[in-house]
Amino acid sequence: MPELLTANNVRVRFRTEGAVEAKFKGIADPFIDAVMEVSFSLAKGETLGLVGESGSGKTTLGRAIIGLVEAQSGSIRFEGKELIGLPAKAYKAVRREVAMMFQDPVASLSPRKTVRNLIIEPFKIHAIANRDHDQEVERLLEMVGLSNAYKGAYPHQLSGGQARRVGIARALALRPKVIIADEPTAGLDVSVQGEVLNLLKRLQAEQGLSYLVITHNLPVVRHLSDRLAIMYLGRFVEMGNTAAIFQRPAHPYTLGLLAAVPEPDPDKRRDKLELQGEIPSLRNRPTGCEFHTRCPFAQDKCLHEAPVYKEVEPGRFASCHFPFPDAQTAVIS
Amino acid sequence: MADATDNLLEVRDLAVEFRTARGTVRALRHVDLTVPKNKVVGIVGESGCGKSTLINTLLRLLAPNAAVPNGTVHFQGRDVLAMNETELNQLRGQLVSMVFQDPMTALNPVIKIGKQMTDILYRDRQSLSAKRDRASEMLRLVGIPDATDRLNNYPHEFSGGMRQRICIAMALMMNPALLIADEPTTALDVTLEAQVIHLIRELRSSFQCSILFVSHNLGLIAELCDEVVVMYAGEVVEQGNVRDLFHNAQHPYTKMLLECDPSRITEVGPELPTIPGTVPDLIELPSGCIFSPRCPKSFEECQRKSPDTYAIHEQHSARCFLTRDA
Repeated sequence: MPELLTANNVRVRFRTEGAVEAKFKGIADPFIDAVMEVSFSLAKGETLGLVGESGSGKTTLGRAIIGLVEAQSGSIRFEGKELIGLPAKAYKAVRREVAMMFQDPVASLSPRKTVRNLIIEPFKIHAIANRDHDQEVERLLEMVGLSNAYKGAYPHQLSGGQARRVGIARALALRPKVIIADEPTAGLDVSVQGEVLNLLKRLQAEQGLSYLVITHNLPVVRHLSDRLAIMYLGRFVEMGNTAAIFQRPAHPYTLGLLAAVPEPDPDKRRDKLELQGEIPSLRNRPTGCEFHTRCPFAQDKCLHEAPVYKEVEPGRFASCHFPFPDAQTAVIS
Repeated sequence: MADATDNLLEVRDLAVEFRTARGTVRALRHVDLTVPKNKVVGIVGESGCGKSTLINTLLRLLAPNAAVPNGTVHFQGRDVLAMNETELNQLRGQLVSMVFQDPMTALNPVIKIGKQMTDILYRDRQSLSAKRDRASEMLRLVGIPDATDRLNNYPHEFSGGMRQRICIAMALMMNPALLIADEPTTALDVTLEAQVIHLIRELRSSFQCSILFVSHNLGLIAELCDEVVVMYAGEVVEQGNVRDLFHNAQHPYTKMLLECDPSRITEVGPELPTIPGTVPDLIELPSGCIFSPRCPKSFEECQRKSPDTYAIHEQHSARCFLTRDA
């Protein structure tokens, strides 16, 4: 499959102290790395899921791709064209082809615009002289399964699911090739989640879209994505085929995430917790393997030596000294 | 049914209405709810099903345009709807306390945690240092390290998961008889969610309180609750113990809700089941069964009249004609 979007060793840093303040406090490196040397590729028609806890850098990575935050090093290529370092004006053209659906369906819509105006906003921003905006609005509303009657409604008059559909219509307006969907189902009821996921699936099949789905909801990516990347402290700790990862996760963090999802069955209650504690501060990354502070399988080696992110089986990457099934046997023996 | 004295909270045939410019919103109708002592009762339902209205009625926190035309609410045998302000102040916070959805907004951002916690103990005639000891003890109990020092921190100095732990600690400080948790983990990651649920389960046994757990996450309900109440558009459509509900659901709505839960999917691709149609307008209720416009199994009688609650067995009932006929 031809690669549409590729990222190589992408790094996004944020300044934590001003230059003067840092000097005064004696901080040599007043930065945190929100995204650390991340590489992936996305083919046409493919869906890649980015999964991790809050603060793992998944949203930052998504925003770096469409230039809402600046990536400091590495390379992000869309159809072969380098995006890092692109001037703001040139980036605007990229955003016609790589669209973003933001978190929080209602808050991402301007409260003072009607649905019609929200949907034609992309055409205005990109100065696309369209003779018939109303026809476009109708086309897009129909595509996302909303009645034309909602044209005059304001966001506060919409339910979460309807607002999400408007967000999808906006993302689709300029016929993009890639959609970055940040938490597409967060805050929606279970039955509505299903509707939105079905819609995203259908649109992908109809238009050959590629999706980058950013979420902490594992059932959602399980349904939607072909491949999965698990992020922890800004790095990919595991990447591979979705079904394979769900079946046999290689990294203990992935295992912990999977085990944390409650099953809707009272006979399958969990007695022990796989993942204790919380994600450490980016200002204070743990030594060795950065996951060792929470890893139930951590060995001596993990405290001192950082594991290499490498291919552990064809198409599966992980950064762990004892990737499964090794880790399990290590614990049992 | 259990003896009335075993039940902490009893709601019978409750109706709540809101007067609006468009007409009267009939937010709750014929709601029965029983919370036995030392049990966790879950309320499941989608947005707009009346979960929050029900909770607000229990604490008499309804908006001024609300009216209760019918029904009774008894807490420890006392009529909540007839309580005066003094009695209500005792009910709220002391007998019943609440953990809210969003730990970011539930805490006051400009007041230190210690002060917010000791303020809850305003009823106790204790020294401040004794109250602070109790506060740090509570923080330790919910798993916050360096509890004594952290009393001097502001809410923003804690992570989201920590803040929700603090909210739980605050809710338990008065040793309430009933803890109401309204979607306590929606703002948290799955890993923290699992931790908070684990914590609630642990604390429940040491504090001996009943819990009313409101959520639309079926997985969490299955994980935590003893009994479950399913609400749809202002009515309780089914209730029973957690096993019966998840393994032997009777009401078509419950069945469809369980089927469309994305966490049941195990493969990429297939179309997810959904519930076609939308929640009815509560100003102009459809005649007959409230779910009939969306129900794949509805028949002629469903459109004509509203079903009563029919028992499947002693502790499991559904508001559906199919249950009556079975």
